[in-house]
Amino acid sequence: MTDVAIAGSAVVPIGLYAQPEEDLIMRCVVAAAADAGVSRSDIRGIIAMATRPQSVQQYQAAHIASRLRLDIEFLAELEVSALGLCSALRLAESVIRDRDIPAVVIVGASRESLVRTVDFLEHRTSRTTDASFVGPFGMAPIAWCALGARQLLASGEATEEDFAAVSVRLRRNASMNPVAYFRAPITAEDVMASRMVAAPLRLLMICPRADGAGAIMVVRPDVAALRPTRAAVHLAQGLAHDGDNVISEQAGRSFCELPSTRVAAEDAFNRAGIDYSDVDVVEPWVPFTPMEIMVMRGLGFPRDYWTTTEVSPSGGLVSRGHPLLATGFYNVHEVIQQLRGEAGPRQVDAARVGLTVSESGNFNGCAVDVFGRLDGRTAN
Amino acid sequence: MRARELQAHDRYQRHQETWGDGPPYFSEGTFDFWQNIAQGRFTLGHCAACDSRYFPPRVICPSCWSADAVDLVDTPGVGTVVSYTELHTVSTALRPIAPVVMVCVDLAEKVRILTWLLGDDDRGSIAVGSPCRIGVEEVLGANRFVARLL
Repeated sequence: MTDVAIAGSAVVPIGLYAQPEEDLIMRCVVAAAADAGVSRSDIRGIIAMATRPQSVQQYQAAHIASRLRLDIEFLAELEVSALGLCSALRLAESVIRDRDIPAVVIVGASRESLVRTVDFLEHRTSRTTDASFVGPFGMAPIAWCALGARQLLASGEATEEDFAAVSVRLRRNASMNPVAYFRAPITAEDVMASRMVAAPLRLLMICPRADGAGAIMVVRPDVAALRPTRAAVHLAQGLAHDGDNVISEQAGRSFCELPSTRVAAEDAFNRAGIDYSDVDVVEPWVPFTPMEIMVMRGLGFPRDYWTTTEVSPSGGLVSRGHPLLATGFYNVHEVIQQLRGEAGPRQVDAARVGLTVSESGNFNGCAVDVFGRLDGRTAN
Repeated sequence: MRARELQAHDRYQRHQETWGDGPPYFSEGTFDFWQNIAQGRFTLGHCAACDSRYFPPRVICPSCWSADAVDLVDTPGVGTVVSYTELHTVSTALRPIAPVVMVCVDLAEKVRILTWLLGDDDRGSIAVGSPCRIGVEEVLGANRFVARLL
């Protein structure tokens, strides 16, 4: 198989950084280039996730290109959202084909530690839903997840113990991931004893806001062909949107069913020519543990999905950490490590197909990205 | 367009006099709604062209796309709690009333309202499916549309 592929990926351990975003991104670009086996002169394009408001340095794509003395002919910045990296992958693939250039690097970084949570709630999340009719009542991602979790409990579709079990599994996975933020194992009792933040969500069901950065090297088919066992192909992208902006205006709509996830999954699977049973590993954008249950069932996996499919072997956002602009890079990075067979103690046996699942709003919008190895074989 | 913009400028100034820099923020489609709230009256959007009811009000009807046909109508405000949460970590502005009970209510008119549940006794008895009513009360020094259990 010959196609545009992801030949290199690099992230920094998630944590609290004094280094600014540009430092972290430059380190990731150089590491991703080495991982891909490309030289500086091969990198003819750069795509950056648009800089967060708290960041000093704006126009990060041009800044990084200048700092690293890249000889680029294509440059773009994409607006922040969980779907930003999904769009960047498609854009990079298109640019490489259209312009016949060897490589495009995609970069992103977030230092969430620069903004206190109360300020994050006051100045950002209150305006991402309706700024007059919804946000002022305290709406935030944790609140809309809590509304969905409450419906799961009321309908008997899940229990608080189910939510805690997800937290325990994610932490166990993170304990084997050197880039994860929280790595000490926890018990269900620890989760249920942690303080209530947005009922029924407790502290240990919630992602830490942290810092991180990543870079992905997308390359031309002839460059990818030099490393067939290490390059990953973006097999398909499924997209859907339910038409709402977090909170539906229309009575009767569910908070926990997330219909866009199923439509995006079926779209992706049809385009890739695969089925649920083909999926070996899933890295979903899930900042709160009840949302994993909503998303995985919404996608169409069975109620006890964790018994058949490896979900968030990296530890996921809840234990690995959630540096907002960079989180998508960590999801893709984990899938690539799994497909290469380089995930160490958390390696999924014979991984051949991996998914990342990304959101906008309360999964009003969903992207399901399907990845496989360039050589079509399985890891290990 | 110029006449409409002159009217909008006048209304923007009146909105500022009532609500300051916001929230709520000014819009031509919601100006009358927020003036009603300031006077203690909760209303829904109604399209004079196609007779549909919707919330929040706006300059374009979401059903028929008629422009500037919003006609605010009174409502009994009776509905059902479809979900709720108690928020213990909130912005600085909401700290005086934390923990806040946020509720999502579907009204009989088939529109959805997100707001706070008031009433200390109601915190312990709220459930998905509880009947409730939306009304206007003063919270944090300003009139708001809020829910109480029936």
